[in-house]
Amino acid sequence: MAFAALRRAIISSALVAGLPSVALAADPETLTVDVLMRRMAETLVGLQAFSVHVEKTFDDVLVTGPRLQYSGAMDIELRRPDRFNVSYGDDLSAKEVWYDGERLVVVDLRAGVYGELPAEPTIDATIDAVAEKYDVRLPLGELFSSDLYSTFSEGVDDRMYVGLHDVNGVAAHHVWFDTATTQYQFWIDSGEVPLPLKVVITYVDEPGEPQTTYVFSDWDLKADLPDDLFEPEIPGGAARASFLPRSGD
Amino acid sequence: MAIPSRPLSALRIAAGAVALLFAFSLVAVDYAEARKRGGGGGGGGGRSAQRYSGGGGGSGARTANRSAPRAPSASRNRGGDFGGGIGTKQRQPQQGDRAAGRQQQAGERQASRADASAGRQENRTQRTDDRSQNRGDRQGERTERTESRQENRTERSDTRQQERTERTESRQETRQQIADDIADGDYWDNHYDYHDDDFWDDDDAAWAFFGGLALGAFIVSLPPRYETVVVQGTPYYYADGTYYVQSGSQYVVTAPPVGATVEHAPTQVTNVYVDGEEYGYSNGAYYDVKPPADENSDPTFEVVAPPKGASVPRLPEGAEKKQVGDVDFYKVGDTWYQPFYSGSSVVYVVVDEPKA
Repeated sequence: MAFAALRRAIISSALVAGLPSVALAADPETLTVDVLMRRMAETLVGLQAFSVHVEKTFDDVLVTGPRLQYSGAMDIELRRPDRFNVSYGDDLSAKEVWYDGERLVVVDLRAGVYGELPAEPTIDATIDAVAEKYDVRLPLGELFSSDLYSTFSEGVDDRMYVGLHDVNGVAAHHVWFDTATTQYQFWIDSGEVPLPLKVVITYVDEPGEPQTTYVFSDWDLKADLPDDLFEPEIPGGAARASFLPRSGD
Repeated sequence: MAIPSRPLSALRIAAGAVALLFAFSLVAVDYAEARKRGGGGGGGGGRSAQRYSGGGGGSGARTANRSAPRAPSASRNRGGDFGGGIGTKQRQPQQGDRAAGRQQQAGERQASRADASAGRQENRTQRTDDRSQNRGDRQGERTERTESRQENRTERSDTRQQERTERTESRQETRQQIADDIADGDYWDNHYDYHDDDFWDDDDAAWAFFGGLALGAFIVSLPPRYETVVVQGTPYYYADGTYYVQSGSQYVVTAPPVGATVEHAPTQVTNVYVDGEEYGYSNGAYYDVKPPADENSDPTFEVVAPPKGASVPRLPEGAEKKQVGDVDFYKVGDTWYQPFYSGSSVVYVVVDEPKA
């Protein structure tokens, strides 16, 4: 128990020194994870423009038993309040999405099919609207919306500060927390800018507990992102498709 | 829910806490600059998310990284921390000092040898004692580990045995289960769909396996395990979702003939529901599963006409794009499909022939 007391004392003193406004009544472990997540959220939300490369792996669990892993990658360019472009490709699909403040265009590059939706004037409102009306979920949309912190802090059952761990040569705060259905692990850059470097999501209530992993690299917070980057480029010959309303509506 | 153990060391926590202190002082927005303090990135090597785009579609596919290529720089944080030549400075003593030093050191070495000898003797005794103690400790640890391994083995063995029994029982249940599944309209389903947070990857992972031959492809001999089915007087040869007809001395891949009934379902099937009816969709064919005739037989699978309203993740091979008015469709034989986005995935819905 002396060990636990020491641990708490160290964390608490660090927090007191670093962030005196935080209430110290909470469990230090909770406090550490919560503070780290909050700082990461504030950093992401505060970014006016950035680009980042993300490598992704995800599982598919067959009924017959095999748990398969697929890989993918995406490049994200975002400029607040009203522009983003995501180029995504994995073993099964290839897509690109543009948002220019007026419309959201999705192209399935393998199928050669595109769709277009009228958009809201901001990234946040658009992410919410297309999810609500058409069940369109944007890749890593939660990470780039303004309510990121509440997304990952509500419904959390337990938290753990795991340690300082390496992500592609960068020391990162490795934290773990879970909700009723999902376990999350974040690796947050321990340097001056607490950006996410890696995220692992484990769907513990699904058969085989599939995981999705995102590894972030090439964060560019001074990216030059001119308007033409966010103008849709629809492949010649692509078919136009309507969006089906979200089922149940 | 089981909470993982927390093997946190005090050192690690202390390191984390110190790092936190630095993190809280954040002001810099230039992430690249901040990271550079740890070492250099450098180099080109633009990557592209679309390297995965693979087969087909989008003639206009372009690379994702349109801006200047950035360095992957995996080790960028390490150079600054550990570089800088710690060893080189220490290897350059002055020549004069070195000669004088040598003389002095020789005397000191002589004197210290005697001390060292006595000390070594003492150390040896100490080490021997330590070793004995260590050996005892290690022996104790080994015994504990052996016992623990033995226990683990027994547990694993028990678990495996139990799993085997469960699997055997589950196999025995299969036949009954099949009948139940057919009755419940839940026969086809070859992979669990889980809800990835972003719903961005396709919902048709099963298709990743499908590497069937293209329509019109010729093969010299039939696959080792095939069935012969006759539809309207024409013999077809079927193997794992692919149909062949004879053409001279060879066989040519053909569209699935409606009315064919096969004994073995294709390996990769997507389940499709239309008005409460369940179909298995594979390689352009819609299969209606027929319950076993009796308890000693297996279900069979009949190729049926594409049911109106069926929604599938991939078009049958040979689909042609057709524009009718302002709307894009695809036509396969006499069947019309209209593309839609369901969430962020494309689906193709069987529709009536559109009127111009």
